[in-house]
This record gives sequence, C-alpha cells and structure tokens, in this order.
Amino acid sequence: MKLTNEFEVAVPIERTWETLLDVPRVARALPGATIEPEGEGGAWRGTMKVRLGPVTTEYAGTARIQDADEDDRVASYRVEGRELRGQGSAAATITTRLAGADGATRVVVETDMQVTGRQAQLGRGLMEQLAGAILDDFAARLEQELRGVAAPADAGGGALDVGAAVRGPLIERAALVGVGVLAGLALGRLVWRR
Amino acid sequence: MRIRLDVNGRRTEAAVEPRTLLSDFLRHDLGLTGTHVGCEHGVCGACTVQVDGEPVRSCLMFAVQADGRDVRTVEALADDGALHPLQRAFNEHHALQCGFCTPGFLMSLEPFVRDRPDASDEEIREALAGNLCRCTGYEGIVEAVRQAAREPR
Amino acid sequence: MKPAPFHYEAPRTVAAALALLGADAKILAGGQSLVPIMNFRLARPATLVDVNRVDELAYLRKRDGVLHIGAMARHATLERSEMVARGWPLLRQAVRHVAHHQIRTRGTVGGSCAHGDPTAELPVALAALDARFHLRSRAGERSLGAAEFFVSHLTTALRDDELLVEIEVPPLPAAARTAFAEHARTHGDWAIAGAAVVVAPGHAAIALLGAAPTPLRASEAEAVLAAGGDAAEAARLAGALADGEWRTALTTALVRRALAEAGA
Repeated sequence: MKLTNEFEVAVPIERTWETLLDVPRVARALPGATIEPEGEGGAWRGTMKVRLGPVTTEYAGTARIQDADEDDRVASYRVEGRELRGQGSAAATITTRLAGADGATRVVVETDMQVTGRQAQLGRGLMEQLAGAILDDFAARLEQELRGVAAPADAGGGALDVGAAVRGPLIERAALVGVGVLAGLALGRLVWRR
Repeated sequence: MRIRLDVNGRRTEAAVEPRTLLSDFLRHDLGLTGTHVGCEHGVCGACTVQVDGEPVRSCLMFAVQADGRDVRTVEALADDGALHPLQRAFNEHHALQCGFCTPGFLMSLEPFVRDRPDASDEEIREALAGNLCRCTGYEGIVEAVRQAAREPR
Repeated sequence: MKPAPFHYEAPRTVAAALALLGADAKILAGGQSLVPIMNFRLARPATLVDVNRVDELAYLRKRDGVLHIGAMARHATLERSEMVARGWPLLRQAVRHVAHHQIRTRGTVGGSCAHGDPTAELPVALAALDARFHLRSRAGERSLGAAEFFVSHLTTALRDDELLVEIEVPPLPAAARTAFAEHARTHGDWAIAGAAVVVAPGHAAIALLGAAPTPLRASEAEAVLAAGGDAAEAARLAGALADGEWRTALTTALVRRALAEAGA
C-alpha cells in the first residue's frame, strides 16, 4: 500500500535535513515510539504502540536509513516490525523529500507499506486516514523538536493514541467526526472480526 | 562470552564461545530444534531464521553476533497453536514431505508473502531459489506461496 | 564442520577496528564468504574483527552526484535503493545476481570487494563504473581504482593493517545505459562468466567476470564501441580475453547479450 503525505515545518531546510538523518530524534517526535539510543550497523531497535479506542497494538522492530541523497535532499528509511502479541507484522519503505521555502521546509513523505495481522484488517481507506492523522501530529512534534521546544505531554499515555492525535489543534472538527466514525467501524471489525 | 538477545520475543541470556554458530546455539543451547542444519555453508537454506526481521542463514552467523538483536525461528510462527497462514498453505498444498527444508522455507518466505502479495509465479520461484528441497519438486511450495500471498490479510 | 576457536572482537568505530588489525586477524563483515570458509576450516584466523557494529561504515549516500557506498552497506540495501537504481542502474542489475536474498541480507558491498572472488558480481560492476576504493589504516588513507585494488584470486591490495572503508562511484555519463549478464549452472549459483556494460555516446565500459583472476576491462572492445563500432565485433574482442574456446564462446555471447540490452 502506498501513501503520500506532506507537511511543512517552520525550520530551514538544512536543519530539517540533519534532523531527519538522526533516527532517534525522529523517533522522539513520534508518540508511542520508543527507540534504543544506540543503533548498530545503521539499524535502531525500537517499539511502537498504537491505540485505537480500547485496542492497543504494540510492534517491536528495527528502523534503518536506507540511503541519503544529499543533493536532492531525499532520505529513505526501512522500518520493519512484528506485533508483540499476535502474528502480524509490518514493513515500510519511507521516502522523505525536502524542499526549502523562505526559511521553512516542505516535507513530502511517501510510504510504501505492507501490513499483516490485525491492523491490516482495517482496510486501505482507514489506514490512509490514520496515516494522515499520525503524520500531522508527527509534523507538529517534529517542528517542536527542531526548534528545541519541549514536546507537549503525551496524551496517549505512552502510546500513539489515534483518537487523541486527531483531537489536537491541527485537525478540523469535520475531519475529527469523520475519523471517529471510521474508527468506530474499524473497532467493530477488529473486535468482532467481520 | 555472555550474550543477551531476544529469541522469539523472549529475552534470553547465555554464555557462548565466539565460534558457536547461531544455528547451533539455537538448536543446542536453546533447544529450538525447528531450525535445521543442512550444508553449513549457506547454500541449502535449511537453517534460515530471521534476525531483526530479515531472513538470514543462521549457519553463517556466530551467536555472539546476535547479541542485542531480535532472532525469530520457525517456532514463533504459529500463534498459540493456530497455524500461520503460510504454514496452513504449505499443509493444504502438500508443500512438504520429510519437512527438513520446511522451516527454512517458511522463515524465508514469510516476509516475501507480506511484501509481495502480487508476485508473479516467476518472482515466487526466484524467492524460493535460496532454499533447496529434495522431496517435493517445488510445485506445491509455489502453490502454497501463491495462496498465502493472496490471502486477505 | 565447525570453525576452529578464535579470539573475537567487535569494535564500534573504525579507529578501534584499525587498532586490532594485524597479521593474523581477519575482518568479519557480512560473513557470507568468510564463514563458510571457516566452517570448512580452510581459514583459521586467530582473531576475528567483527565490523558489523561499526555504524560509521554503513551508509549509502549521494553527494555532488557521486555515490558513496560505506563498506558495510548490505547487498539488500543496495538492491532496494531507488537512489542507486536511478543513478547507477548497473549496481541493481548486478546485485540481483548475488546468491539469494537471504545471503544479500547480510552480505556487504565492501566485504564482497575485499574478498576478491573473481566470480563476484559487484566487483565487476564497480570496475565498469570506474569506482574508487578507499582504504584506511592507522597510518592514513589511500584510494585505488579497480585495476589496482583487485590483484588476483581472493587477493586485493589491502594490507594486513588496512580496512576498506568506502567505495566511491562517479556519476554515469549522460544518456548512459547499462546491463549485466552472467551464466551460472543454476540461478543464484556461483557465476561462471559474465559481463557488466555501460554504453553512452562516446563512452563504453565492458568489465568481464570470470575471464581473469580479477574483474577485467576489455579495453580494445571498449574503444571499438566508443568509436561507434559494431557491438558484435566488440563482443568478439572481449570474449577473446577469456581462456579457452568454451569460455571465450560463453563470454562473447554474454557480452553480446549485455550490449544488446544496453542498446548497443
């Protein structure tokens, strides 16, 4: 499944580029993610908790920078993880492209993702909505990380709470309702396995 | 040397000689005999396990190199007795006879069926190329992979 | 068959690794060539210096149009990289022929080059791309072209106290097309003969696998092709460099095939 998202951070491109090549720093901006500060051979181990209502799924896996094009400011990552409880797994190649504009940076994120197990049952439409919500929250946190501002308290209690994420100031009311409905449907599918 | 690693999701600690191969460590030190040893030079694929999510020849890695890593063997595939879709597919398509090569196939193919659900037969055969089977003639294995790849997630 | 006992070190920096090198120390990179040899006890190094934890060696970077491959970049990473596929398609074409995907997960570009197997695919592709090999020791750094780096069967210019740290690949000439062809008895098996070609207006590179103890550039054939000459003639000239009638015929056919694929 391929997803494309973009966001802007009010930080110059050089600093954004440097930060995106610092995997632990990037992980800090993703709520629900923990990462071992010491990577090895270019790979960092970590976990990711995603909560949708009462259902929490935790993944453990590795993240690596695949390649870095310093000329065009394109970096790609490979992330792989398994559900801690369950048979599901996820793998993604994430490509970030930066463009500078007036002391700000526009970041385009292309994600090529494969998921098996529980989360995969959600279906493409909802995955896209969730990815969008996650990335919007991530963008805000990354910007704060870049500016050296302390991140807001983790609303998800150590997990990426998708519901809480969309309750942030970034998402309009209409979208919030839409995601809520979809989340309810998804929850139904997860719990009752339709 | 002391090593600390995750094996099938469980934190494991052990003392090993540097020259102990990962395959032997899994089989003899941890009793995980699902991983098989065929050629010990990386050709047959029977010893394939997953390290940090990627298929690897455990006969070509020393246990000390797995320190701090995540190792996953065939024993982790079934979920509380429920067969993994790939295992089920192998069962249904007679993709194993003696079963010696099977764990290596399963650990090699699990990421493949996740990543390439739309793989052509030719691509499936290419993905199988790193595992040798002396019993089945491979047709059943190809069919099993086709089924498992297309299975709704 | 199990390896003989050895002393094991796992440094985390290049500097720490260099301090451990010496006459009876062997570097462990991907291990896909070295460990089988140790399992057979054909090699019994007293000390194994495992560089898998040297983070500063694992990267794939493009800067000013030049590709910088850290010695510990895995074959699988090279294979997956769209950046490499766009700028240096020959590398993806070649790395797909390296053994099988399970081997490519661990095997490294630097390790393959330092091992110096004349039937290895990446050295041949890198030779065709005019790559430069950066070697470092405690005394300093030096860089060599492929012809100087690859010396003979399983022998490179690396001294006992040196580490291959990076392979630098210049940009391809404009409008270049590339291809890689090899023949092995079965898919993924060790190659018997092969060719890596780069074809561009006024430029041609033909590097042969299996025709010599090292990757061999067929310079006469390249000159013919670069001057706009006939591809079949170039293939013949290249094939003639191989030893014996059978191998010559095979090499000629493979060069012909690669050139055709590269549009020559």
